[in-house]
Amino acid sequence: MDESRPIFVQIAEQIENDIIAGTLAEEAQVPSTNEFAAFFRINPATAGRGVGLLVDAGILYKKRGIGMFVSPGAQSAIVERRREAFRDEFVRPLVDEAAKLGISTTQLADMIRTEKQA
Amino acid sequence: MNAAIEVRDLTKRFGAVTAVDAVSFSIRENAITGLLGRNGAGKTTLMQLLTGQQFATSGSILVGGAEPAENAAALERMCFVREAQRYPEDFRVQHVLRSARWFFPEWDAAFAQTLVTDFRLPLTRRVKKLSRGQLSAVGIVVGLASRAPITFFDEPYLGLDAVARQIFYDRLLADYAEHPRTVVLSTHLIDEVGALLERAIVIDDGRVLLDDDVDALRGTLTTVTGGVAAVDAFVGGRRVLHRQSVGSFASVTVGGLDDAARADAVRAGLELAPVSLQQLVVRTTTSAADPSASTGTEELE
Amino acid sequence: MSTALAARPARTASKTLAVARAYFANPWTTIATPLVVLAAVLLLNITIWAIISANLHDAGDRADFRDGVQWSGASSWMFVYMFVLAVQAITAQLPFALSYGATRRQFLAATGIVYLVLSVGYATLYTLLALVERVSNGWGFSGRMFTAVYFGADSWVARWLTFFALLLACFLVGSAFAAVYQRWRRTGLLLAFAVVAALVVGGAALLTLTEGWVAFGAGIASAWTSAGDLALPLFTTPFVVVGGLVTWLVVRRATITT
Repeated sequence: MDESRPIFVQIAEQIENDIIAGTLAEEAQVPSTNEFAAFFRINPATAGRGVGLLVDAGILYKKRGIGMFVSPGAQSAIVERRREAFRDEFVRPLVDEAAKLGISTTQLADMIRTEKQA
Repeated sequence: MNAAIEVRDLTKRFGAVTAVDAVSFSIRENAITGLLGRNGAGKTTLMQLLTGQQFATSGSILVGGAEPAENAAALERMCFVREAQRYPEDFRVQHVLRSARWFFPEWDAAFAQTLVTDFRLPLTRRVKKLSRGQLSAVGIVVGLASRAPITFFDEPYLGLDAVARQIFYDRLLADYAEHPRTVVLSTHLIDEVGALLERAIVIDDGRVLLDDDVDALRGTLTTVTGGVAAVDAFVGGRRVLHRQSVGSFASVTVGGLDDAARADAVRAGLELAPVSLQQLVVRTTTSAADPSASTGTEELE
Repeated sequence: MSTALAARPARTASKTLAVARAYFANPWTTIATPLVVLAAVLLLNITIWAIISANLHDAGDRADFRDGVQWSGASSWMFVYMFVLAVQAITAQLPFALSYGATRRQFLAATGIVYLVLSVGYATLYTLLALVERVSNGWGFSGRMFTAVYFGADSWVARWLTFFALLLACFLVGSAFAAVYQRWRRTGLLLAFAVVAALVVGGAALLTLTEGWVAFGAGIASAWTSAGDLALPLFTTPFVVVGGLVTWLVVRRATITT
């Protein structure tokens, strides 16, 4: 847990990572708030907020009396959203850094192609 | 959100020393609140006031609507795990547990036994012969097993090694999840305890500097590093909590950078680094100590 | 969950009881140790008396022995022990009780009850032992421990009251001094001694100036004799009252100083 960012956001991200990776399948039950809290060693209220974020975003839904489940279409929804953020989070810094180091666009493209083949 | 405890303009003076200076805050019910601050900031005095062990000089404390001092009904619901707890002469660990059962209506003996095993406490040893860590562990066992609706822990982990501290945090969280109660925990191991907290109250020199959700506090400060000129240009008129410089480099701690500002900084070639909760508390208390210069300045040559 | 907890009424009596029980949590402190030491001291004394008896052959010597032993202070250690218990009540039981949520009033009530219970218990024990001593003719060796001359009394009721009053006085005077120390530390204690000394010296000075010693002495003597068997308990009562009052007043605003 990164002590310099809101933890509930990090919890939500962790759960989303698991959904993308397929560890948490759609319609699968998600661990309870208390279980998350115990696992990550964080305050249950914080864990609850993280889960709440995902419920608000439609990624998770609640079955009364049973628990939290992954919504159908959650995986594609998350991937979609992260693709949009990909540019700001990864591409722009990559381009900026390459520019600082004097790497041309062609060289950059070559690097990316080589990396993908490996 | 209900308040388990409401404090208004509370002041405590010991002769010429003002230990608590007109503070106002509330302790959220059934939340884990951290009382953070330096040694001598007033954390212990504050807890003693809230538990009726010290008498306030002025101001009000309301626990369930009533003043706690000499108030049996209010005190009934509280347990205070002190840093330096006195036990009756000749008490052995088992006598402490036996007595605790009489004092705390919600006492869970099975839970206490589990904790005693976890912390490897020798039941038949005299309390006077316990190590500092074992003494702390006894306090923790009582505090946790008391299930008191309002439980105070004043730096309860002194002398405990990292493994034992982790046991404490784990047991606290697990029990809190099953049996919610109001917990107030004072500490200066902020990064270790940070993830357990829901609320944080930062005290310095008897005054409250911060009183907020921990999640809201995290990420409010950023360290900006780069060439002196670029840093100064970026910072402009912002309030700087800390400034450090080595040669032609400078590093400042500022608050309230939104995404646009962060993008500006990156474009200006500056490095942005996150500030942890502990650093936030340190920076806030240090800058509060020296408000004449709006920055704490360090020149490193 | 939590609302149910909040709605429960306070069980004020229970913390008072808890404080009282805490004095007996380790039964050695208040019961076993005093009894064991008492038995040991008694046995030791009996042994000494047996040895002395075996070596006294002259009737005159025996009479001297009987005269001397009535001044035996052997039983006095119990009173010192109770004094120490009272000091510990304030220095250790009080901070303990406060930390566990008892009010000072609850502590005072519980401690008062404990003092009474212990005083009644040990007074009864001493009275019974005095009876045995009488009946056994000094444990078989003309020894006197519980019927020492200090305790006066021919009436058994008066004897019991004497022990009771002395024990209670030890408890309350011990608490009073400990409470003063607990609240005002060394300075307070010195001040307390100074006040007591001043009262004594002042009183003596007053009597000297007014040449009232004779009257004072006569007054005390007549009061003592007219009180008869109850003289000692009666004269102990002021100590009990003052000790109790001081303890009450000082502890009411006491705080724990580490």
